[in-house]
Amino acid sequence: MNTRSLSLPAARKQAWRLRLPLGLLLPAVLLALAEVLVRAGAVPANLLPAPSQVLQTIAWLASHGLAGHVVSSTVRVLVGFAAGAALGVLLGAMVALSVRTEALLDPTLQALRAIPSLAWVPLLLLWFGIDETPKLVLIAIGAFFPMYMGAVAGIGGVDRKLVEVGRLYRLTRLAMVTRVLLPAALPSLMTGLRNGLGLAWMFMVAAELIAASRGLGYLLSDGRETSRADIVLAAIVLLAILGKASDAGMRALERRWLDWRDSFEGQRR
Amino acid sequence: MTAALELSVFDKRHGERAVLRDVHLALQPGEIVSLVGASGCGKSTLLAIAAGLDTSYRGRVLQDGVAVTGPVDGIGLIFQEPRLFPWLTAAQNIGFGGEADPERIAALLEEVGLAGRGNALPHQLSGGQAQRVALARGLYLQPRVLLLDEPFSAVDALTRRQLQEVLLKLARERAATVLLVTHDLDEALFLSDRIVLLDGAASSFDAPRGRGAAASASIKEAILERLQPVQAC
Repeated sequence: MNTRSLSLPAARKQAWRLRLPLGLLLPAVLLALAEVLVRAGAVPANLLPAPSQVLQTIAWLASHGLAGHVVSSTVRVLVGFAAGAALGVLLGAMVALSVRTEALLDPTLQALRAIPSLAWVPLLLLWFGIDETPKLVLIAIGAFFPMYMGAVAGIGGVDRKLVEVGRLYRLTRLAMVTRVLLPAALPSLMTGLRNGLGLAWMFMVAAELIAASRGLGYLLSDGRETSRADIVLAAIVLLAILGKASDAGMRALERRWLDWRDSFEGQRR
Repeated sequence: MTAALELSVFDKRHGERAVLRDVHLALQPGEIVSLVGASGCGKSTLLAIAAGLDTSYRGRVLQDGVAVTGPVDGIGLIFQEPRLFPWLTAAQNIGFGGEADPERIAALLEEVGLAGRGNALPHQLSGGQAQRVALARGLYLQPRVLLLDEPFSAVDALTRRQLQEVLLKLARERAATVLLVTHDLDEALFLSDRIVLLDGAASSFDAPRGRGAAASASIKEAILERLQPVQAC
């Protein structure tokens, strides 16, 4: 009789080798198509500039204050994200740890969560003017809710059996939080952090589109007002790169902090 | 002589259902007692009460004559599952309950047959190895009373015998008093000075550890006979 065995590791390795070229295939084809169509005049260049034109614009911007725009957007995201995420973990932990706090806070927070993000903008402008403050607050709101949800789900879902071990060793309330609950909730907290960071970038653009004199969002609206589709696309490309880079950084952190996990994800990498 | 551990549970309920009623059990210092009984008889509940984890019952627990109202260092508990913290190494798990003393942790690791594996994370250990770490953690604070809840039920027969011998040796060396819940009569006969059958109340059988196969067999017979009519307890 003929026995065949499936060699899984080899198949996995092969899939991994193909992953990068496969992922790049579609963007490369689309970019090449756009380049060809624009050059042939099939698409008007003022609406869709050729990819090479966008690259040239980015190079030109680089010597005309692009770094300043990138830095001010990034700083806004980091400050707003840090504030929103910190508050999210704090309130999430409070809600997860006490039924009374949950009854008090959770309904209100869930109602606030249902408000579309852009609905805050007029109110924030009224309250805080067109300074930095409304932008930072809006970004913080964006980062807050994913973090809050992650903290509530993570801490609330910690295995009762591990908590019992903590009780057996008479951990204080604080030690129970820092030594058992937070580490056990870390996977969920990291997911909250990643989602929060993604939303922080999104809300940053919303804030800057409306009132700003610096930043990538400003570049977007400036490009629209001066009918420069190449500037708009350049800003979009930069936003994509920054968002992807910060998420990759977060993933690297996640892999490092969560290497103790015995999970499907862990075996896949 | 004051009992090392004295349990008196008059009434323990889960909701409406009475789990334990009028159970009295006293362990002499250094005594190894197995607790057997059909599943659902409240064996694990009784251990949780003895460990101070469960305090919603009518009755009392005395260690050396002193009331136990919550977890104490002098009473250790080893669960049915290893319950290791997955983000801590084996060594960190063992030292979890107190100040980390690398020498004592290394010595315990060696005693449970895991010398040099202190840096392994729980997911890198097999089920039997994880349970060894749990045993070491339970012994780390040198409790005078050690409670075990079917600790070896999930490991293979060979590992089980090894761990039973480790337990017996360490308990002897430390003159620890041991209360072991098990569903394995052979394990109970092998390990204990006395077997207690929990069937509503608690009735005792003197166990014949090292007293030969014939005596063991007759005690096993007697316990099984008692166990049958109360299966539905």
